[in-house]
Amino acid sequence: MIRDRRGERKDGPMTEPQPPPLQADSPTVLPDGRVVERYRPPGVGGGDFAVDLANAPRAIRELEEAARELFDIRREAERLGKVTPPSRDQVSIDAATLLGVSAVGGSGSFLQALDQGIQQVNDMIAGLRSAMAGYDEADAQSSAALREP
Amino acid sequence: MRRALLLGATAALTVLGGCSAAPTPGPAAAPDRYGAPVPSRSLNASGVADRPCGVLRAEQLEAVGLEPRGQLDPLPAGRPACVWEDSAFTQQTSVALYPDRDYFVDTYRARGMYQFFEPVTVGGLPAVLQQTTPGALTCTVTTGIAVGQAADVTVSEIGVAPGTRSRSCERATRVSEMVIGNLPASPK
Repeated sequence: MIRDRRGERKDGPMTEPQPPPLQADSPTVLPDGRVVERYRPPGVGGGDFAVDLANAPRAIRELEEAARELFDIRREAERLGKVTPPSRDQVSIDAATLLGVSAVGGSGSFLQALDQGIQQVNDMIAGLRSAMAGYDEADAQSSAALREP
Repeated sequence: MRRALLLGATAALTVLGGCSAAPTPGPAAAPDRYGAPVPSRSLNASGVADRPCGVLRAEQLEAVGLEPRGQLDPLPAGRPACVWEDSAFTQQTSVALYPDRDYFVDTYRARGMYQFFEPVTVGGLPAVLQQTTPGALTCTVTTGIAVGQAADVTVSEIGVAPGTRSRSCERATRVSEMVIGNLPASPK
């Protein structure tokens, strides 16, 4: 028997093992014992993820805000990438071209990096929206099954 | 932070321009259009460039699935853009008008910077589709509405399922057609 300094047992009766937390693809057991499989979200970015259903809507909202911010920055970058040279001499034209290359142009450019970021945010939003839609559908099916006489 | 860097870069460009040699006096050379076609007719965007949210009518916005109320986005180095979204936020569309800058020529000057750069005709006027990579979620259509004037429409899609083809260029072209159809002809 193990006790702490105050004499309380530390090897007390074991608590019942808890079921795993509810996830989007957790099966639902109906009162009559039938098991309804839940929707499993598709993999995003090369791997699967588990959806915490309580937090999914908030996660979607935050990702949407991130997308809006990226769109804002992209608009500015694209406009500055095409800035008009302040005069028609070669130095000004070269400087405008250089700024354009940095902001807009080619592999590794700021604009392309922004588009890659937008693509990643898009994939996460698409995965979460799909998971939520699948969960809602499975939930509706479960509710319909419960209403069956 | 990134915005500050962009603004800093613009300031640096202005300084560089100011330090450069004075242009050689003489007859004005024909402006280099960098391959940009000359518009066959002239529209005038000066009346709506500062309030671009009024350039599309409610029924036109509804036809392309956008909410009627747009938000003004004060962009650096030029006139503001108006930004619209749909109710489910699957797309964002922005329109900016350039009544006193040949943004169409500037776009051609920057053409080497896009992997997808496709000249097209929108409403009978020369335009060009631009994407950093073909099939990207964002597409910009810049239209030369007159010599020295341009209309710029950008559509970004969001929440597109993997493997689904982006329709951002088709959407941007359609919105561009609407914008051009609403602009008055330039007084002769």
